[in-house]
Amino acid sequence: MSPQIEAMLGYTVEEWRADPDLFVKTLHVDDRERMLARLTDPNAKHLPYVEEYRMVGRDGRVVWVRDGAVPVFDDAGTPKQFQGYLLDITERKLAEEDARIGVARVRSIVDGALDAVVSMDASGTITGWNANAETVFGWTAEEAVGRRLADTIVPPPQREAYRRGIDEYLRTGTGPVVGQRIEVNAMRRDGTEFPVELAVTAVPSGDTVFFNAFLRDISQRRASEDALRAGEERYRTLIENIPGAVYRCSADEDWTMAFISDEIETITGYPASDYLGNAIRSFASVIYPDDVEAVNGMVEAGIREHRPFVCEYRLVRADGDIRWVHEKGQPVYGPDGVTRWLDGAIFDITERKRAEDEQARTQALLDTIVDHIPMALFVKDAQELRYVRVNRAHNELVGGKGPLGLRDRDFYPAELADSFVAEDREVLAGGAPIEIGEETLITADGGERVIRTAKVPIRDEDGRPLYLLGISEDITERKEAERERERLLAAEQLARAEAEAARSELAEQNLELRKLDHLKDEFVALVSHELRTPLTSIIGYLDLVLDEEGGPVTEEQRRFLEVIRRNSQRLLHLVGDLLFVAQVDAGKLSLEKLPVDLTELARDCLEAVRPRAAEKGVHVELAADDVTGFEGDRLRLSQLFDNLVSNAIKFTPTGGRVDIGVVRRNGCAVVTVADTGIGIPPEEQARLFERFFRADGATRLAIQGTGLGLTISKAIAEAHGGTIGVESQEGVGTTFAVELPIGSGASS
Amino acid sequence: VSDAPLVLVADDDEDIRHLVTLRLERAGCRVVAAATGDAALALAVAHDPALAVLDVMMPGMTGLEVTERIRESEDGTRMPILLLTARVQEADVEHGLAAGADGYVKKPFSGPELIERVRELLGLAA
Repeated sequence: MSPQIEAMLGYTVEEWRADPDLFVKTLHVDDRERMLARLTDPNAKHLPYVEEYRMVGRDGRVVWVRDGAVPVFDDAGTPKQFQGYLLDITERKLAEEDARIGVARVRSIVDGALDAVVSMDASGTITGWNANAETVFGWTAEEAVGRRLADTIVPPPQREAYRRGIDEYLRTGTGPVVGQRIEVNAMRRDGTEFPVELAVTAVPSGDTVFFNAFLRDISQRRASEDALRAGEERYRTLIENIPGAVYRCSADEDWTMAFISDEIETITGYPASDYLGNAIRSFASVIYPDDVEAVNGMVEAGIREHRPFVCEYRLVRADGDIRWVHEKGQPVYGPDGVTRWLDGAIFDITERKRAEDEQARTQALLDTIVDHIPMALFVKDAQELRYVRVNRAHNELVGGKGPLGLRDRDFYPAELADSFVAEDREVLAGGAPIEIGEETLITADGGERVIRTAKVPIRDEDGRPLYLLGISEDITERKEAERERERLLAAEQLARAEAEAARSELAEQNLELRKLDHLKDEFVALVSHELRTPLTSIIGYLDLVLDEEGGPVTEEQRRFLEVIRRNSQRLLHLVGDLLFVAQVDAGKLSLEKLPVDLTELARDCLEAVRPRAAEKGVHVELAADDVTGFEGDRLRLSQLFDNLVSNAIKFTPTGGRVDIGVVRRNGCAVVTVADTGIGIPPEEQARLFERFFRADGATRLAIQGTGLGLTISKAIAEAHGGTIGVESQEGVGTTFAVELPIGSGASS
Repeated sequence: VSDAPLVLVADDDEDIRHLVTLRLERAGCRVVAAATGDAALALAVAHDPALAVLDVMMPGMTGLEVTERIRESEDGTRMPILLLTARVQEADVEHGLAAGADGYVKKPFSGPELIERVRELLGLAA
C-alpha cells in the first residue's frame, strides 16, 4: 500500500494495514457485491483483472477508482493474493457522465445556467458560447465561436499560464484548473478585466478532448468581499488592539464560541482556538464555579429584556490564578426573534479589582479606626457647617442618633451652638488647627459633659476650605476623677491626721494602760503583802494562845478563839483567790508541770474535806480508775479539786452525797464531782463561771463564798488545755466535769 | 545557853518579828532581831549567827538583797538562810533561791511549820 492512498481516500497506510476489513468497508455500497464476488471468485483467482468501481473516502466523498491487479502465487503455485494499483478516475468518470447526457439536454442546461458557459476544443478554439457568455463578455455567439479562447477572454498577462495548463492537461490528463473551482480574472470585449469564478471540465472524446468552462462574474461579490475583508481587517486590527477579548458565542450552557479574539489567551492562559466550537474546552468551564450562576442570571436577563448585559465575575486561569473580568455583551437576534448570538467583550479587571479591594480595605480600616477611636470625631462641611461624618464616640457623647446632616443650631442650645460655630469659622478662616480647652456640652438628655476639642480645617488643592474636622475628648470623668482624687486626697490626709492623732492617743493610752497594769501588779502585790502581814500576826498569835503558850485557855475561850481563827483563815483564802484572779487577768498564771497522780490527788482532797462532810452529814465517795501519764501543776489541780468538792458539800443538804470520779476517756483524764444538792437553774448555768457570780440559791441559803471558786477552777482547767462543764437539775443535783488532756496538755 | 544556836531574825513588822522570835526561843534558839535589811546585815556580820530568817519585803534593803550581800561576803563558810514571804508567786521563790536562800516559808505560817524548817536547816533532829 503506497502513501498516495491517503490522498485518495483519507485513510493512512497504517490504518489500511491495521484493519483488513477497511477495503470492504470503503467499497461503495452499489459496487461492493460485484467486487467481492470478483475477488473471491474461485474460478478467477489466478487471473489478472482491471476493474472500475467506487469507494467512499473518510470524508464521505465518492471516489471512482481503476483497480488493476495480478495474482501472486506461493511456491506451490497456489494464488495467495492480488497485487496491483488503484487510480483515482473520478474526473474521467464525471466527464463520461456528462458525455452520456444527451447533447440537447446539455445545451438546455448550459443555456439556462446562470453562468457563462464556454466550450472549446483541444486546440483552444471556441466551440460553444451561451447566452450568458454573450452578456458577460460582449461577444455574440456567432462572433465568438471559432475564435481562440485565449485571445477572447483571457487577459494577456494570464495567457501564458493558461496555455501551459492546457498543454499539461493534454499531455498528462490532469492540470491545475480542470476539475477545480477557482477564481481568476477574465477580459471583456472592451478589454476590461473582471473577476470570475471558473470551473473547467474536460470531456474526452475519442482521441481528443473538449473543455467546458463555467464562468460567473463575481465583480459584485468580490467588491463586497473586498470591502468586507477591508472591514474585517480594520476590525481585526481594532480587536487585536482592544485590551480585552471580543467574542461571539452561542447562548448555550457552554457559551460555545464562534469567534473569540486572541486576547482571551492573555486573560485565561488558553489560546482562542481552544474555545472555538468548544474544540478543547468550553468558555463556561473556565468560569469560577461560584460565579457561574450569577453570570447565567445576568446574561439571561439581558436576553429576556433585549438589552445589553454587564457582569463582573471570576475566571480560573490555566495556571490556577483567579482573574476578575468585566464583561459587557448583548444578544443578537435572528429575524425569527430567537437569540442567534451573544456578542461582547471581556476585560481583565483583576488589577482594578485588587486596587478597589485594597481601597475598600483601607476605607474599612479607616472607618473602623474612626468609629472605634475613643474620641468623638466629627466632620462638617465648610459652607453650611452641617455634620457630614460623625463617629460612634461622638454619637455617644452627644446622645441620640447623631447629628448627620444637621447643624449645631438644630440640636444644641442656641448659645452653645453659636459659640461652636464661631470657633468653626475662626478655624476655617485662620486656616490653622486650634485647640479649645474645656467646654461644657449639653447632651440630648440635657446632661452636661466637659470636653476638650481640636478643630482642624481641611482644604482642597487650591487651599479653599472643604471641611472642618473636630476631635473631642470627653474629659468629664477625668475632671470628676480629678475632683474625686482631690477629695479623696483631702479625706485621706484628714484620715491620716486623725489616725495619727488616734495613734498617739492610743500610744498614750497604752502607756497609761501599761502604767495602770504595772500599778495593778504593784497593788496586788501590796494588797497581798499588806493583808497577809496582819493576818500572819493574827493567826500566829492565835496559835500561840491556842497552844497555851500564854497560859491555860478555858474551853469556852478556846471555842471563841477557834471562831476568830476560822474567819482569819477565810480572809486569808479570799486574799489568795483575789491574787490568783489578778494573776490570771495579767496572763501571769504559770504552771509547774510534773507527773501527777490524779487519783491520789482526789483521795487527798477527799480526806481533807471528810471532817467537814462528816460534820454536815454528807456522804463523800471516790471512784477512781488508775489514770497514768498525766502531767500538771499539782498545787493548782489540788486547788481545783478542793474548789469543786468544797462547793459540792456546801450546796448539798444533810443526808446527801458527793461522788468524786476519775476516769480516762478519749485521751483525757475526766474528773467528775457529782452532788445531790439543790441544783442550778438553767439560766444561771451559763453565768456560773463568771467572776464574783453567786448562784441565787447560795445567796438565799446564806452559803458562804466569794464567787471566785469556779472562775479559778475554769482558769486552772484551761491552763492545762482542758475544759470544765456543768450539768444540773434543780432539786436533783449538779455534776461538774473537768476534762484534762493527757500528754499533750497546754504548755505552761 | 551558849549551846543554843543563834538565829538572826529580820522583819520590819514588829508583831511578826516578836512572833518569830518567840517561836524560835520556845524552840530553844537564841535570837538577834533586826527591823531593817541594813540592820540585819550588820548583825549578821557582827554575830555570825547559825541561821538567818529574813522577811523578803522590807523597806530599804530587801531580804533578797541581804541574802545576796551575805553570800558575797562569805568566804568558804555558808550560813543557812530561810526566807519569809507574803508573796506567793513562784517567781519570788525562784528569785530567793537564786539569791542564795536555802528555803522559804510562806506567811502566814504555823509555828510547828517554821520550827521544823529551822531545825532542818540547823541540821538538828526534829
